[in-house]
Amino acid sequence: MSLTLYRQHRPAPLLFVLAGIGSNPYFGLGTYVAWLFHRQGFHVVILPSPMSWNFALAASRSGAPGYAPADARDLYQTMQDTLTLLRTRYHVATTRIGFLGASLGALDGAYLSVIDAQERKIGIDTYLLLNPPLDLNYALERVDAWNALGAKFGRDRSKALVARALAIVDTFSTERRDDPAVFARLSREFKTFTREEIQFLLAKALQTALPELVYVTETIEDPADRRPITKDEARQRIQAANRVTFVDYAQRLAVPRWRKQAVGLPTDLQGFARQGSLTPILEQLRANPRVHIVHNADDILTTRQSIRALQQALGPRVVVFPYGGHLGNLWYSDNTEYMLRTFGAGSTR
Amino acid sequence: MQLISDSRRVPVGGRKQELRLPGCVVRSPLSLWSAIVWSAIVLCLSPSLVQAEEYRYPYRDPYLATVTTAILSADGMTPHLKREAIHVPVLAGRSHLRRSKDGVP
Repeated sequence: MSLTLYRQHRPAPLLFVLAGIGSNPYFGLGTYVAWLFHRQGFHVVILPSPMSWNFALAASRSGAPGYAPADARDLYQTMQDTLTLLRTRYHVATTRIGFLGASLGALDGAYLSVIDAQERKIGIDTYLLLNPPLDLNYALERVDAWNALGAKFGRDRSKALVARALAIVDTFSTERRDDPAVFARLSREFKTFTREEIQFLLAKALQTALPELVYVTETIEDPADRRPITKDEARQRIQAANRVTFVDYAQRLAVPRWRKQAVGLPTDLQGFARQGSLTPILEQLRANPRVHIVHNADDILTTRQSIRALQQALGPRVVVFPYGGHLGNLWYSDNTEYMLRTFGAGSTR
Repeated sequence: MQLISDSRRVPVGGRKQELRLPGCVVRSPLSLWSAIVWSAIVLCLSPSLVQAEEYRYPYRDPYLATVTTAILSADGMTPHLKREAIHVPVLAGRSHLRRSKDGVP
């Protein structure tokens, strides 16, 4: 399995970064966090999302990731293996270890904190969990509803929307990530889309990695003689998975495998979503002063009521910013300062 | 910075001596005092909300805000930041997913 390492050439704190659904170690939010912390003297390792083909193939014992308690267990093993490798082969010297998770990575991180508090095999001293989904059923339904807008728009308009959005983003590929003017220009470009069009684009972005995950998850269980021979065959099967949604994936592929993992587990997706949310571990999180959670009151994948309930349960270790949507304020100076401060890093101002 | 949210602000406005709380108007000094005490208690119990007026994040539309994450991969500042690919051993039996051309896995 591939990870990325940004290292210092001296003993330094090490930060594991786990971004959101389907993220990989080479692109996206993880690379931004790596940039932010590496210049503050941290070693940074970016992990692939458990909901990526990379992790499903190499580290997920069920082969069907998406159930946070099981994914966190697999992550925990991966992180131990990674630390051994870093210390023995790469001679990376760590002074302490932190974890930063975003979105689904934050939910996985919450479960990770429970495991490490019990087993102490890694000894993570600080967790920062950004915008974890608090009610997975709600988040899944939202994304599915946004995805369904594609039927309303029709195939051609949907394809044109995605192409237009990608073209806009592409023009920003070499811009600075600490300049509010750059984000202002981007938002001006996206103001030309309707609310529904943006919802559809967000659903598409969240599901980008799903076809490859579906392919790997199916193929792991295929009898050897049904596995594809050529790259073309593999590509055709990935294309066939293009229309699969999260709910399809979970109901058809994942839930049957999750149920085999242990007795007494739920029987349907809603049950797994409830059991894999934050609610069942709130007591452990409350008892663990290493865990810090940041949310935005207007997060589009979380209800305000569930954020209030989280605050009531965890008190001052939950910080809620009034705006930012889902992770949309990570680049904003108040937020970067807060992130750095949580891990004891200096200011960027 | 970690103080209160928009919804907990208690704006004083309109006619004199009127304290407007969501859903009620308080006029007597005793009621006013009790409202202030209760507001203070609410604020003290909720120390982890960032005060909206102090937080100058520019986007009030949460969808537009979310879209801004799309350019966090931009590497204009980090062309020379060195990263290394680390390969961690995979689970047994997962090293390949294709069968060979003679059909042997």
